[in-house]
Amino acid sequence: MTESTSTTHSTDTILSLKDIQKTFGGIHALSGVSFDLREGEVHALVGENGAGKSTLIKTITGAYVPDGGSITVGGGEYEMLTPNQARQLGIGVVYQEFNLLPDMPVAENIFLTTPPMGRWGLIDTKKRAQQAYKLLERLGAHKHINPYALVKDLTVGEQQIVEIAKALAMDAHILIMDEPSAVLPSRDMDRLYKVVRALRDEGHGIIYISHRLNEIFELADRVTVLKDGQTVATKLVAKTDEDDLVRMMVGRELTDMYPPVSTIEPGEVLLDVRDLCIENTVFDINFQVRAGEVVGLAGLGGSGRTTIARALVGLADIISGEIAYFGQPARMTAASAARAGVVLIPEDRKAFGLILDQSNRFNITLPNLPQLERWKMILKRDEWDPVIRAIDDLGVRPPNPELDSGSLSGGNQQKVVLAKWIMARPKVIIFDEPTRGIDVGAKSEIYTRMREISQQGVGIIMASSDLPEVLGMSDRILVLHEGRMAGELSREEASEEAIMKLAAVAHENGASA
Amino acid sequence: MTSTAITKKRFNLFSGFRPSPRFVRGVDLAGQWAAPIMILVVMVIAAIVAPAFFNPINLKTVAIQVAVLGVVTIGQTLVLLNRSIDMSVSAVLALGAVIVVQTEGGSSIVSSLVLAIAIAALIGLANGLLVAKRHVPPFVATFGMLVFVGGARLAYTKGQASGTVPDFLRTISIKPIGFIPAALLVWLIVNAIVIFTLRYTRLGRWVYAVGGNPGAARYAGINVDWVLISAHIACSVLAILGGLLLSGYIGYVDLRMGADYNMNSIAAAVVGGTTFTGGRGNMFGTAAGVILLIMLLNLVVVLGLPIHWQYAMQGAVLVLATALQGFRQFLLSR
Amino acid sequence: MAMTYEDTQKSAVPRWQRGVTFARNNAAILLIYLFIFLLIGTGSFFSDRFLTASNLINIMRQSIVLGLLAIGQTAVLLTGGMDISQEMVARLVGLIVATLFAATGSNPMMILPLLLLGTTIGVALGLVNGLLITRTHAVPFIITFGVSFLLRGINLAISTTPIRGIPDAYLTIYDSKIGIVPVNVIVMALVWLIAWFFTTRSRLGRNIYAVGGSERIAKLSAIRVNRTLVWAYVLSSVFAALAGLFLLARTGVGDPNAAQGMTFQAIVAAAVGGISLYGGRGSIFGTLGGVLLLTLLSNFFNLMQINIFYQQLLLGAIVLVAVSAYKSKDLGAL
Repeated sequence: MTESTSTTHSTDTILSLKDIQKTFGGIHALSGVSFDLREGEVHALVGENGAGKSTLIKTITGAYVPDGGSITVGGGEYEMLTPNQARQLGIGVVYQEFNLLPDMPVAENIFLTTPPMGRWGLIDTKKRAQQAYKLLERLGAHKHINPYALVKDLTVGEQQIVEIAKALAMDAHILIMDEPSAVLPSRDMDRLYKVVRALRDEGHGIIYISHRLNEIFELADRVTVLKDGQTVATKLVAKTDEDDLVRMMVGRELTDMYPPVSTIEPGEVLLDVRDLCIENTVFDINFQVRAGEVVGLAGLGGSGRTTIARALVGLADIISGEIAYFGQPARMTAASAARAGVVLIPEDRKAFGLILDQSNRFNITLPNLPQLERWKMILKRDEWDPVIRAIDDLGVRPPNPELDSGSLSGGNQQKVVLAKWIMARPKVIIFDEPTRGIDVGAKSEIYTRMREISQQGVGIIMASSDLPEVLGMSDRILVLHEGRMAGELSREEASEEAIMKLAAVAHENGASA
Repeated sequence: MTSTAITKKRFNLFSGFRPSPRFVRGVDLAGQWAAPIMILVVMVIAAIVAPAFFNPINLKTVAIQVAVLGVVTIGQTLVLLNRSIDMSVSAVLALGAVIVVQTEGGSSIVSSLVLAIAIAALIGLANGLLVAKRHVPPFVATFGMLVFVGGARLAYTKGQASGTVPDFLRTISIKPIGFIPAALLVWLIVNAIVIFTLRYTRLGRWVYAVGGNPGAARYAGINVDWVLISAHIACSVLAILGGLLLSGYIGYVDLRMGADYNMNSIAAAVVGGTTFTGGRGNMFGTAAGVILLIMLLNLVVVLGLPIHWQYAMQGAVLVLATALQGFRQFLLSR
Repeated sequence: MAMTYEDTQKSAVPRWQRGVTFARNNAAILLIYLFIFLLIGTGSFFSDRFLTASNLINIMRQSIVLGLLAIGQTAVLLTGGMDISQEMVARLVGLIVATLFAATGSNPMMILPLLLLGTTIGVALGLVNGLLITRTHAVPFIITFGVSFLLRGINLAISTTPIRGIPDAYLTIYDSKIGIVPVNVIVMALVWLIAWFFTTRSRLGRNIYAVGGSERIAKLSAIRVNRTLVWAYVLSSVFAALAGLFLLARTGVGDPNAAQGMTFQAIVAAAVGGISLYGGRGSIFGTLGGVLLLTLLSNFFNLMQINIFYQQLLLGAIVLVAVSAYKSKDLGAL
């Protein structure tokens, strides 16, 4: 692959960002990011979760208005772009969650914005299919993808190529690809790489965001590393190596953030998962969780972390396999799991964690009403003390039980979610992305609480894509690859590289589907 | 050097619309307090243009109408709080009255009441199952039920209602208790029970949780489907109760009876601050909405206007209230 | 290009597999036409008057009003909304046009201007619905429900009794024939054809699908969501107005009870024809099937002399069975 990365291309800069600033509610998401993209290059953008990659992308596509800095593109300099401007300037995005209409044919999805018109003001469907075919041919996918097929009948990899074709149909010459490989099964990866190279050779500039370092070396010409909303460095890929990148990406003092390791021996088995299969996503998962341990669940996007987390509390359709709570086979419904003391703290707080229109008191007591009842009645004075205690205990700010949960910051919302479940005295807590979108201070408080709870004999599963967090908190780490268990690492064995190796390139472990 | 992007100005009420917090707060308060404020306004207007409105006989009529619509609207509000809607209340209401009146001759009043309530509960159960388990859009499921129940009533009565309204119904509807008619007392009792349940019991919390965020409610271990189904059953049973009060009040049963109660119950609930997105609204607001709507409808009569202005009035109230609540929800959820 | 895209596709996907895919994606449509054939079979078995040319032509003519409403309703349903005001729009247009005919002494010269006026009223009311819905972010069916009550009041204010004085020339809209085929049946066939082209080949038509499929994706694809929505409501109202004008020719009087219950039938026709009530999915060909099925059913009932009361019960039962066969959003109608 070296020949393709070392090909000389024209070096005209087609997009340049200078000193971009963006804050959200006092938190600096971007503090002075500079970045440039040349014609005919694949420019990789790497960084940990929360480093500011997606904020940067949204600034380029006009979804966010930056607080400072300038964007130079298409011969003009702008303080901000609107989505329409960005599109007209030839900026196209291939999002991670696809923007295709599943019930429409491929060709129509590609030309949704600008269908070729024929006689009588009608869309020329034949021409549309032909043009779609030509675009797919450019991407080398014309043999697999029928322009007339409905998008819902395509595989994820094929949908991604349609998504790329759609961006091209809008005349994009700056293509932003947001973790395109994260959702792909490994067998589709080579096809994607081919497409990206073909586009680069046509002279497009491609911003390629990825977590997988090995594909950066295979694909990219240059790489920019972001950390904590700042550019660390931009380097030629040929002049760097994996260790170098990892050092630039991480390099944070872990000890400050994470509480000391567990001091107790793991106790009895609380949760026993045997041969768990969930349709199309999760296959033959086996593991146990013991009292007092924190088990990390790592894996790339689409590896089945969230699905397993949901399955453990009866929120996913289990095809086969068995889940036992405390040695007893469990009745898998959300209500019975909560009663048994197995609870899930979900990734998406707004959708599944809190009732945003209601007060903190309402949210915290919601699963705990039976223990607060007196004569089958819930009186405010009976709620008050436990709620105040829970709020103080977790340091929810502002510490007002009557405030709507929707008005709190992300970190404090997560504390409220935690508070409500701690009050329920669960035996197993499953965290899914416990600190996504949370500022550093709140993060460390949540980690401290997590460790405290586990020291009291609660079993904790932590599914997370944030590797430092997985490393900092877990007593042992289960790594998933495409819905299968790729391996288990003890605290001593674990490192970012070791996890990545299992998560991204686990072919030899029999994980190829 | 730096050129700011020029966005094209076009006439669009809300493009680039950034409301101030005060404006959002204002709309929120307006949504919550629209009904009580309007009641005062309408009273003042009535005092000026139609003093006959305050005639005791007219007030008694208003009270009974408030009670009937109030009972039905309590049910409708419960369903709306759960992000559902019930378009079948008018048919259920009429069916209940027909059952009680037609079976009166042959059997005791108790058995016909039990029969009516059982049928209502079944209809509510069916509505709830369609919405919760089959994920049919609530409007369609309950509208289908409206047609079905309406057809069942027509088939049962062969298109003509006969029989007399039992004395018992006359009693619970129009018999004066002190100054107030019995129906109003029934409404107050139902209100007290429902308000107590919503405030002080698990079920009440669950209703607001399910309406506010069904996803979070499910994660919290609440049986979301069951809560939704219960609300539908309660709504149908309350509709039957409304039908009994109504037939007791008008003293007969006819084919057009109760046809407007879908419209009015939804309009009253929405005017009272309940939103269609669930989880927002309460019974005090609903009571105010009911009183306001009945006052407006009654004013049409008192002023001697043609009766069809009532329809226009209902429509206007619903459109304005829906627009206000929709806009409020939009602002609050930004 | 050595191979055209047709060539590759023929070699890539075996014919039987394409057939399976087609059947799966169009199950609702296949099912409804199967039902239609079964119904025709049953009908001709029970009554020898059923499968005659004159009865079939009659059925087609009977289907026109429902067809017009269902085409308009389909546009709105595809956006994920609903238009409850259709029958009141139809009625209003009929009443206004009839009133103006009567006022101008049944002058045949007025026919064309009044047809234009009726259509314009449809456009205006559609704009009202569409703008209310897009500007206030309110729930479509409630807004249109409120508007329908408003219009009901206005309709009754115009007249509570049938309005006479329609010029005879106007009635030819209903009566004129080529051979034994009424002209309006031919025109309606053309309308269906245009609707077919509109939904499959026009930009607006496809944008309606895109908006109903996902507003977010439509926005990201630079489709003007609000404008598309307003257009859908305008189309719905215009078709309702056309239905009103046609009804006027059929009955020969401005009828204050015209189109009773037709909105619901139009929604049912579209829904059983596979138009998803969540929007974005379905084909106008399915709507046609739904319209034919409902019309055939009612014709069949009449031939079998089934009591009108049972007809409504049956319609309700069909709706409930159809909607309980409804799966969640992912699986679509039926």
